[in-house]
Amino acid sequence: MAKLKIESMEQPNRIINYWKKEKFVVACIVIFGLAYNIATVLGPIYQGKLIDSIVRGDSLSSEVILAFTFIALIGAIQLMRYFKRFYIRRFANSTSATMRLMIYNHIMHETTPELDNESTGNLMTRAISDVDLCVEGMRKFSTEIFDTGVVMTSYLITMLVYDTKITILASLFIPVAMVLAEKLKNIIYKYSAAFRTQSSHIANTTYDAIENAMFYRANGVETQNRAKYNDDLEDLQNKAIRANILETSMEPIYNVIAMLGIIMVIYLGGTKVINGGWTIGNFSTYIIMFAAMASRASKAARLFNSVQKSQVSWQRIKPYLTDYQRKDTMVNIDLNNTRLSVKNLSFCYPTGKENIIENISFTGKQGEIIGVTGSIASGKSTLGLSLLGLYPYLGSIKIDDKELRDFTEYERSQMISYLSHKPQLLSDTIYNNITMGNEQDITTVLRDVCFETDLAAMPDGINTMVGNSGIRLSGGQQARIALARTLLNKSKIIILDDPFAAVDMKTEEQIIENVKNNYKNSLIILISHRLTIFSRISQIILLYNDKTAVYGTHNELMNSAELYAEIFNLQCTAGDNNDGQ
Amino acid sequence: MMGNSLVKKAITNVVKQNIGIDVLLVVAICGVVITSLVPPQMLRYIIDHNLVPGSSDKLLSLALAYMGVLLFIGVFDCMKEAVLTVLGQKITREIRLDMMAKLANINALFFSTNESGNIVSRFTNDVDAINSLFTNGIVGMMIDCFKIIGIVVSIWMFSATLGMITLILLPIIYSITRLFQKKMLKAQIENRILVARVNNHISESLKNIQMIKVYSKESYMEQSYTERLLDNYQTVEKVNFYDSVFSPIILLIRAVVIAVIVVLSSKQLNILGISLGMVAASIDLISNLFTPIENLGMELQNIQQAVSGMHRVNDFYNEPEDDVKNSSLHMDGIVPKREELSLSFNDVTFQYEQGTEVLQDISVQLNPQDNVTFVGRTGVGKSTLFKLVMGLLKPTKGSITINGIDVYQIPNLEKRKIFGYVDQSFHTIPGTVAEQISLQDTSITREQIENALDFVGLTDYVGSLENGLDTQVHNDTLFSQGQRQLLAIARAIVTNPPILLLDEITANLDSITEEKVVSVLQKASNAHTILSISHRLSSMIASDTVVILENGRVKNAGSPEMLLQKDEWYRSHIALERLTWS
Repeated sequence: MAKLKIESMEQPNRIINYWKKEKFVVACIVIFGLAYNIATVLGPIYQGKLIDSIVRGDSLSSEVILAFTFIALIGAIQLMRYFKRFYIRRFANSTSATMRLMIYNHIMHETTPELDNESTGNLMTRAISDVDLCVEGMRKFSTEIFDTGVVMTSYLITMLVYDTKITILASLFIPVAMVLAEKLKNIIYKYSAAFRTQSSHIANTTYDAIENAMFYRANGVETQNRAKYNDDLEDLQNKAIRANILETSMEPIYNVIAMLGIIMVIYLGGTKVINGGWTIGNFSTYIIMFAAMASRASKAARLFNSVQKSQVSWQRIKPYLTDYQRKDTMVNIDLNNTRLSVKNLSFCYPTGKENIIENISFTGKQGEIIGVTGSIASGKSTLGLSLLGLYPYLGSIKIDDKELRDFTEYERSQMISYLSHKPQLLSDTIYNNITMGNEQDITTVLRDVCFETDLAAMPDGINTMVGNSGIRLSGGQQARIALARTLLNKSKIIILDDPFAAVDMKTEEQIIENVKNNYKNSLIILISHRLTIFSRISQIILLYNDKTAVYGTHNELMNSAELYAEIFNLQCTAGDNNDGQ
Repeated sequence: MMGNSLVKKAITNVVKQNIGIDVLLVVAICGVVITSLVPPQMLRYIIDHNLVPGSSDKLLSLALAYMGVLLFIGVFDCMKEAVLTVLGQKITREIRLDMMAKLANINALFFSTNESGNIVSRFTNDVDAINSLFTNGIVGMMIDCFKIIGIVVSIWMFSATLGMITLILLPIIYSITRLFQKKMLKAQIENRILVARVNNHISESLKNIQMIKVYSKESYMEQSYTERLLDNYQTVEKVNFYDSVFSPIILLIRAVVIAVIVVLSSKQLNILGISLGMVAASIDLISNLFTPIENLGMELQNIQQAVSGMHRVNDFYNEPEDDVKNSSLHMDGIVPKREELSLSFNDVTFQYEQGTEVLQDISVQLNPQDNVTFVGRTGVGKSTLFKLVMGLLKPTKGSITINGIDVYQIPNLEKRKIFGYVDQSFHTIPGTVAEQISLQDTSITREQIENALDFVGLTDYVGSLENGLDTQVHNDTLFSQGQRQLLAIARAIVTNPPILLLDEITANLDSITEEKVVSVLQKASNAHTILSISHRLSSMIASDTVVILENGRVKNAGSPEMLLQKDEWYRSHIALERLTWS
């Protein structure tokens, strides 16, 4: 294999740049394409010469020499053809890879509010099928420049050399076929669009009938829905027939039209042979070239269609093809002496209208654990999320006396680790899920999250594949792997949003104890609705539904906050109320 | 080939019902095969009778006739394509229709073990594959076989020796073709797996985008994306190699064959003993031999691939069905008087798979117009219980009866008259507002719809819409979340069923809408037997009985007052709930 590299490119939103980027490959395509397509007329010419040699009754040796020349020529021509075909495909292959990379890079570097507005399904279609369609069109376009343009020109010139009059008369019908194909293109497009619309309608109806089968069955309307499905299918059938008949059945007709000139070729060419102007070999050569040209012309319709299709796709992916982006990885932070000070923090999602949290103020420093709790929808998770600086916020969040929004995104990610209540695992090994590319030892961190016993039961150890979204692990294992990832770099601030929902109480207590002892350089913010462990942490923020908040230690809140005390006592009597294993 | 083949049945049906089209197909196939053999023969005639002797006798008519034959080939070809399209589409439709009929009778368990996307692909991709199996596969193969036979026979008529050579050539070309096709298929399958990995990486990145951003792992993710792209690139390169090299090799072989024929027919050797016209015609015929052989290999491959689709469709067709319902059961017979309806669970046990009971020995007797709430953690089988009540699932042991009649026996068409089912999501069907309520059931009158709408208090709002009840519901913005929930209730009560089943209906509502929904239900509770499911203990409407489910069994049951006194777990959770803690 040649050197393979998939690289970023500049100005990916101009389609011409994809050809410019692949200079070597494109040069090969041009050279081999021109050479093959021009030399290709030699095939019919030599085939005619072979026939003439029989007519002349040449000696066996010269016959054999001619035959070998013919084979060698075809061999050389086909070798060039092979290179042309291969390089055109390689061009398509690397263009597709580059486009995919650029789109991926664009998606990954969109801001969080921008990403919230994107639909996953749409992005997937763009990154996959639109790229395919677009590249397919680019490939066909490159191929046809040679296979239609150059080949037809060289056939035409050769034929003109053989006989000007016959060529002009016979070729009159070829443009007719091409024009007809071009004209019919619009009608075909209309019909096939109607077919595709109905087809996706049927797909949706089918999906609906299956997805909601129990709903329809419980309401006894399945029979009546089926009658409608039957009508829809009938409609689809008619549309499919109309679209397909025009698209596939017309090609033989174009061919017949383009071939009309064969009458001239046989009559005038035959007469020319009889009059001694041509040899029989010339006649045979000419017929082969003419038929090849006519068949090219009748296939032109297909080319029109595929280029049109790819244009639509190109328009769709174009907005995603922007210049390559890289995060600035310059870091200017003090890894020690962490101080966090939050003043009058208010936060509202870009899509929402009202503040979820209002006027939150607290301070913390390394070695502390700050607990955040509150009833459902009191804004616990939002408080955790707002401390990441992914969204704009009101008020002030200062880390070591510098405003959070003044740090770069990269600096923030190096200072703050965050664990959301979804474990967000990748279908990779346990090791890779924890280190995410930062090669280092994970023994300690696995011990901190009490994973050693689990690990011992896994034959592949830390190289165990976790499956899609961690499906091969239990809920508690997923949560602890995600926690290990969060703890790994001992960041200045570690935010844990309800990480123990699927972990049993004893393990939870053990993990908290480990974190307390082994992460003394970090400030930990623990969001939870389970208050049992809160008795052992430094300070607590209790959020109310009316957006007020109370601050204090466990003992202070037990005395001053009625709600807190009541919940704490209820949870003690209700026992283990988690939903995990 | 298979026990109960839907595909075979559908194809036979379509072929039987469209005799006219079948005849056209046979004509077209014969026409294509025969006419395509004629041009080389005419060429031979022209060379041997006009060009070699130098006579222009009938040359113009021959030229015209030649064109005439080409015209016939074109027409037959066009006809063949058209007829195949029509037949293929009819078969597709027939199969889909039969599958839909099957879907109505399939055992409800099927849906819990199969993902919707998976089933849909049987209706779409697999059926399409069967269509192309018929058109491109079987029929295409027949045509190509005939073409090959025709060519061999034509050549044999010129010279037996050349005919023999052609026969020897056939397996050689075929095996080269198959070798390449197999290698390509292997590389393609390999590639498909890698493409799936690339795609999966994209969807995974999008799913975990927050985590990636928070940890600044964009470049790490891009790195592993590039690795996957590179793997994909390499296999595509392999496919490309075979793809690019195959056709040049075939053309080279053709050149060799042509050269051999010419040398063999040279004056000195003259082994074949054929005229110049025959040489030219043989070259033409042999050139035409390559395409059908190439197609044959592709068709075989298509058939192999489509066969797995056919198996999936047939497997679907052979899925177990629900037991036949007792069609003599009607609403009036089952519930003669709604005030005297008694619903009872008699030792109901249910399992989806052997050994994993979702529900065990549930026995509850309901008094007429009782109001019962089932509570318990998610995953204790509450929703399964409702499916059992409506007779959609069959209990593994025990039974559920209404006035002594087993609910599983009740035909689906009668169910809506007996049960009104509301769950937390409102499923919008394509159609008007009125149709959202009637579900396009023509036996439901306009008056019934208006009454139902009035009952849930949506009359004014719907009246304010552009076309009132006949407004098309295109998107989700027409009704708010709460209004949709009220519509769901209207849909359930429109047939005035004696039993209402409410599945977590207030789960997604804000407190104001919740109040409205509850007041509507309170109104309904006087004339209905109501069963509700809730993950919350304090049901919105006052229940007569609360049944606490745990691990598939009834842990405790009784009036709310009684449970508050006797069940400690119930008591503390009621308190936590009051504080909206969890």
